[in-house]
Order: sequence, then structure tokens, then C-alpha cells
Amino acid sequence: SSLSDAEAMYVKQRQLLYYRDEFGDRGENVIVDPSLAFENDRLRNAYIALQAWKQAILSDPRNQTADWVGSDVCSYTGVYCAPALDIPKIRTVAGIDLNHCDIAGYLPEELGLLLDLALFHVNSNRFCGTVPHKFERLKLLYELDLSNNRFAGNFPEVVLRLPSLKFLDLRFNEFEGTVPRELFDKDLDAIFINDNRFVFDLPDNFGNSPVSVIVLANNRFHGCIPASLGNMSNLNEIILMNNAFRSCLPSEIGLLKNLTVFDVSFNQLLGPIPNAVGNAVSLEQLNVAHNLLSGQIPASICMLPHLQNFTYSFNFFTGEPPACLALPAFDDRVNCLPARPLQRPPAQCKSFLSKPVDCNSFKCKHFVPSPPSPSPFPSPTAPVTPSPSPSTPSPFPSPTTPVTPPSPSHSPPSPSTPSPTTPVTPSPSHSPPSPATPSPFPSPTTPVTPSPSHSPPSPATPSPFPSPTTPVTPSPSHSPPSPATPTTPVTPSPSHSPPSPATPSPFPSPTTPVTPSPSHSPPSPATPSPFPSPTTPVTPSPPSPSTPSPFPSPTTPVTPSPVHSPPSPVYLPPPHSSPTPPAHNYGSPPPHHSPAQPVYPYLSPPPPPSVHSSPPPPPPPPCIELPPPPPQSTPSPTPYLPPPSPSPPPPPPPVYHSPPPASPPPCETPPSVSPPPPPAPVYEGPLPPIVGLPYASPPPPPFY
Amino acid sequence: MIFQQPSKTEKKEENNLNKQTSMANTYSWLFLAICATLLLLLSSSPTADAGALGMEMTWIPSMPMEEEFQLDSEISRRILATTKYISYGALQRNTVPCSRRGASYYNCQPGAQANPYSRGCSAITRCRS
Repeated sequence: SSLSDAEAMYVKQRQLLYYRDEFGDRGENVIVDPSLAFENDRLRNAYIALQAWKQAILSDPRNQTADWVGSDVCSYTGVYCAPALDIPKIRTVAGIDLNHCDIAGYLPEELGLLLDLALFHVNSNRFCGTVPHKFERLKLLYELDLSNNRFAGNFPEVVLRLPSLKFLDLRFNEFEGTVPRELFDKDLDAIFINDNRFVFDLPDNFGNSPVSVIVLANNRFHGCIPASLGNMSNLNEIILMNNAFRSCLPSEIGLLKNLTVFDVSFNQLLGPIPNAVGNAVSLEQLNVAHNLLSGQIPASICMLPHLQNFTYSFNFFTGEPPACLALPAFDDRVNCLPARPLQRPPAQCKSFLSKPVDCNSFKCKHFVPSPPSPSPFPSPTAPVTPSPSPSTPSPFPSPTTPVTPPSPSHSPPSPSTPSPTTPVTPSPSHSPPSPATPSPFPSPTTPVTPSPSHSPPSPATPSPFPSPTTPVTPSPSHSPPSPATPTTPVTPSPSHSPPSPATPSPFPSPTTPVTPSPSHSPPSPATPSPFPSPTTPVTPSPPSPSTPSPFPSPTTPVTPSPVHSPPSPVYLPPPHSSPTPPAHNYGSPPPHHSPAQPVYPYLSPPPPPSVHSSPPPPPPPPCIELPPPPPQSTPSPTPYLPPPSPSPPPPPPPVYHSPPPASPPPCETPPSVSPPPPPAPVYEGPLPPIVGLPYASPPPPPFY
Repeated sequence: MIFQQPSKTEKKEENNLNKQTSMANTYSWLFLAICATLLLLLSSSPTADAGALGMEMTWIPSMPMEEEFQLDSEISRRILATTKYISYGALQRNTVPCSRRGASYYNCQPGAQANPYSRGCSAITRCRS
């Protein structure tokens, strides 16, 4: 009752400020009908909040809020209730999910009355304004997804005051200005602020952020890529592409043992790629294309155990180790590499390379390890862990002997590399190097034998905790896929197979023979013979992965296609952005597939990807038959089937003319359907203006 | 067809080099680029169809509730996860980590919407449905 009284006063105050409340908000006049009976006070407050919001909604084409009437708030569309955490006996509003509702309006301050809110999802709507100040009252808010709306203004600082926030998604909005450094001191797990209008330098405390993923792409960040990046031990994925970063790459990237995705393409990075990057043992996707990098590509990078795609096209690299040519996917076009096709004119290379790059001139802050650095503790254990690993591989070495000779030749250089690194790096970085040293040993072993790939991972893990966990993980990694298989024989098995460490080894071998390129054919016959034989007899589960192995090959090209599909749609705009060479260059990424093949295939690459994309969508049955493709291609083709019928109505909404071009990737998959042709011409129109925005940064690279 | 492809690639390469070597030819380069693009579109009608259909496909994320349920039963709950990497998935505007309305992005399981407080993982990059 006291809360009720307080609330009554609050409501009264709100009414008094009908035309302009304390925050300049257009105060909604919410009067609670006396006849309404609420389950509890919290639901009563929720009623007030939701009714205020309903009044602030200017357009709701899908009538999602039509049922926002009456005291049964928990039955409202998009409103999810659950037992309150502090008082389980009462129900309260725990989640708001209005994703993809296309609602227009703004967020009223009254939303701050939803004290028990844990998730607030409103992706793909047309909300404008900013985040209500009263949001700071939402102490339990865990997920805030405001992506793809019309929010504007400076970074919503109220977000920094949400104690439970872990997931922050502000991407595809109109936020501008700087991003408060406090954001990186906040205990978040995910930060998505790409595709906005932010302009600023990443602060030196950037590395304090404990996120597992952070995407800053398509903004106007400039300055240095902070060396403090080396402190982000939880980081799995980071995309800084298409900004204006101008500095050398920090060698601290090599300290990120859990990093799988590192994309800094389309920036103004100079200097060489640090040898230390070869210590980022979990790296799978590395993209440094469209920058001003030069020097030799470190062999340690191309020998990373899990590296699937290394794109370094459109730079000024002068050296490329043979190992790079053996990667599942790589792109070395338009550089200064001798004896490689599609390189820059000699004169251009000479001109650029004649002016050496002094990394110190950028005056970037030096690396300072975080005080609670866990690396030093695991480092002493690291040397112990590697000792057991060598004993384990002892039996494997014999069958691996034929392959071992080349691996040792590589191992010597890798340890030699860390040795010079040690003296150069400060004492705190010394500890990391010690664990880094053993990691190179397991890396060459992993690609050799699948089972060794299991043991190597354990030694690769410097910390003592992960070492015991790793040996346990292998079995669970197998168990999860097995139960996943029975759960959904098609989708789960392929989705799980990729994550399993054993699977990746068989995948590359089958991929190689699948590659028709003559340059690859010679090595493929030799490589597959030893790989499949040891793989099959070693584990019975391999047979199931072996079956999907042929599918993985088509799956692999499918996976990269979505990665490339974004660039391919961007390729269409090139004609409009032709004056900007970088824009055109961006369009070239699609042929990325070609680099894996000889010169001639370079020309045919275009058709292959389209063919791969076309088959998946039309044949729904094949999706079921092809386990591997379904996990990646299924989500795109499957949803495409039902869409055909509902698609007719969506086209009418002119508002969505922008979304389509933004997500052109699916364009490649549904080529077989004829109904699409009619709307095609309509979509071509808006393409240029939208893609034109991100191209604002490409112009800067006049060095080309 | 195969022969035609090479010529287009060569043309694109020439345009690229031409652009790099001479800024003065911006207009001619633009003209050639437009012609090349038009030629590409005309020569690959199936691609155009694909594009058109693809455009329509983009409506999927915004389909009505009923359609969304249908969507749930047919595709992965994790649209962002279709690329395997949540970060690359985030480069598309209308995608979300979990298409199950009301469920936490950290607990994309059937029935999860009954309790938004429930989470099955702590790192979004490790969450798998």
C-alpha cells in the first residue's frame, strides 16, 4: 500500500507535468481505472508503464499492442512474466520482447517502473529519441537490445548505470559523438555498437573490458588500436572493420588465447603484422585486408592450428611464406608479392615501400598488463603441461614420422621467434611468452594427427585449470554431438562437429581433395592418404564426421559465402562509388574464393558461389539429406521457403526498402525462384544510397 | 559462359588499375564500371532472381507472430549464429541472437520465454541452441 501511495504521488506528478516532465519527456497521462484489479502492485506499475508506452507509440502496423488492454499485463503481446526473484510467490514482468515489430514511437520514462525487467528486446522497430533516464532503476536488466531503430543523440550514458547489464546492442542506429571510456570498465559480455555515427579514439582502458565479443565496425573510430587489447583474456570475437584506425597492429594480439575472430579490414593500419599474432592459437578468421600494411607475412600466422580464413589482400606485403598458400582460404591479391598473380604495379610498390613506417610515430600507449593478470599464474603450470603432452604424442610421432620432419623444421623457427620476442617484451609479457613457446609445438602437431590435436589443445592452454578441463572437454565434446545427433540428426550434428577439435582435422583434408586446383591436387593425394587412415582407425566417431567431411567442403564455401555475401552486395554499389577505389576494392572480396584456386579459376569463381547458393534454397529435401549444409545453409534456405508467401505483403512497406539492401547476403541463395524478378528492379534503386554511407571511410586510402 | 566470365573479371581489373593509376579518368572509369555491372546483371539473370528473392527474404525477421512461430519450428533459433560467428552476424541489421520471442539470448531453448531470468550460458559467443 505504501508503494501504491508513492506510486499515486508519482502518477500525480506525472499528470502535473503533462506537457513537459523533468526530462523534457512528453509526459503520458496514464490514469488507472479504479475498477481494474491487479494481481500485485508490481503488475499495477507494469500496467502504468505499458499504457504510457502505448501512448508513446505512433505506429504499430502489426497491431502488436492491440491486446495491451486490461489488468492482465502478463497476457500482453511481447510481455513476459515470471516469478519475482526476490518474492517468488508473486508474478512480475521479467521480459519485454518486441523484436521485428516495426513499431514507431519513443520510449517513455514510465518504463522505469518495470523494476524486475531482465531483458528488453526491440530489434527492428522504428523507435526514436534516446534511452529513458529512468532506465537506471532497472537493476536486473541483463540484456538491452535497441538495435536497428532510429535512436539518436550521444551515447546513452544511463546504460553505464545498469548494474546487471551483460548484453548491450545499439547497432544500426544514429548515435553519435564519443563513447564514454566507462563502457570498457563495465562488466559486460557483449558490446555491439557497429553501424552508428560514433567518432572517437579508443581509450587506453579498452582492454579492461571483459567482453567475449565486441563489434565496432562501420563507425568513425580513429587513432590507435589499443595495446591494452592484450588484457582481454575473455575475448573470442572482435570486429573493427571499416573505421579510420591509423596505427600499427599491437603485438599484444598474440596474448589473446581465446580469440577466434579478428577483423580490422578497411582501416588505415600501417607497418607489419607482428610475429606475435602467431601466438593467438585459437584464431580462425583473420582479416587485415584493405589497409596499408607491409613487410613479410609471419609464417607463424599461417601455421596457426585453427586458422580457416586469412585475408590480407589490398595491402603492401612483400613476403608470403608457403604455409599461407596451404590455408583453407586466403586472399593475397593486390599486394607487392613477387611471383603472385594480381599484384600491384611495381612502381606503386616502390613508391610506398620507399618510406619506412615508424610505429613509434603514432605515439600509441604502451601495453600495461592488468594487475590481476592470471597469465603469470598459468605460466608456471604451462611448462609442466607441455611435458605430458610430448609423452602422449610419443606414440603418434612414429606414424606421424613422415609428416614430423617438416613440422620440426617449422617448430625450430617458432621457438626462435619467441626467444627474440622475450627480450623485447617487458617482464610482465615475459610470462606470457613462456606459455606461448609451448603453444607452437602443439600447433604443428595438431594438424598432423587428429588425436594429437586433442593433446595439443591441453598443452596449448597455459592455465592449469584449463589443462585438466581440456582433457575432460574432449569427451564431453563428443558426448554433446552424440546426444545432439539423436535430438536433431541433421542440424545439431553438423553444428556440433565444427566445434569439436577432432572434426576440424578431417574437414581440411577432405576439403583439399575437393579442391580442383592443380596446384593443390599434387599435395592433396599425398596428404589425404595418411590423414584418413589414422583418423578412421583412431576413433569410431570419425566415420560420422568423415561422412559429413564431403559436406563440410560445400559447407565451408557456404560459410565463407555469407561472410562474402555482405561484400558482394556492396559490390553492386561500386559503380556509384567508382570514384572511390576502396569501394571497388571492397567489391573484390567476393572473388576471395578464387585465390584458393589457380589464375583461371579466378575468372570462374563468380558462378561457383552463386551455384552453391542456388542449390541450397530450392531443394528443401537436400537440406535434410545434407547434414553439414543445413546447420549453416538451412537457417537461410529453410526460412526462405515460408517467406515466399508472406513476402508479397512485406514489399509494400516502403520503410523496408532500406533493410533489404542492408542484408543482401540472402540475395545469392534464392536465385531459382521466379517471382522475385519483378521486385528486383525496385531493390536496385535504394542500394546505392545505403551502401554509400559505409563507403564514407573507403575514400581516405588515397595511397592506392 | 566460362569465356565470358574471364573477360568481365579482366575488365574489372583494368578498371581498378586504371582508377589507381589515373584519378583524372574518374568519369570514364565510372562509366565502364556501370557498364560492367549492367553486363554482369544481365548475363546472370539467375543471380538477379536470387537477389530479388533475397530481398524478400529479408522480411522474414519482421514477419508477424504467427509466421515467427512457423519460423521457429523450421530454422535455427539463433539467426546470428547462422554465420557461426555472432560478430559477423551482427553486421546485418535485422538479426538477433535468438529468434525465440521472449527467451533470453543466453537461453535460447524451448519454453525459455516462461522465465526470462533463466540463462544457460555466460558468454554469448559460446551459447548454442
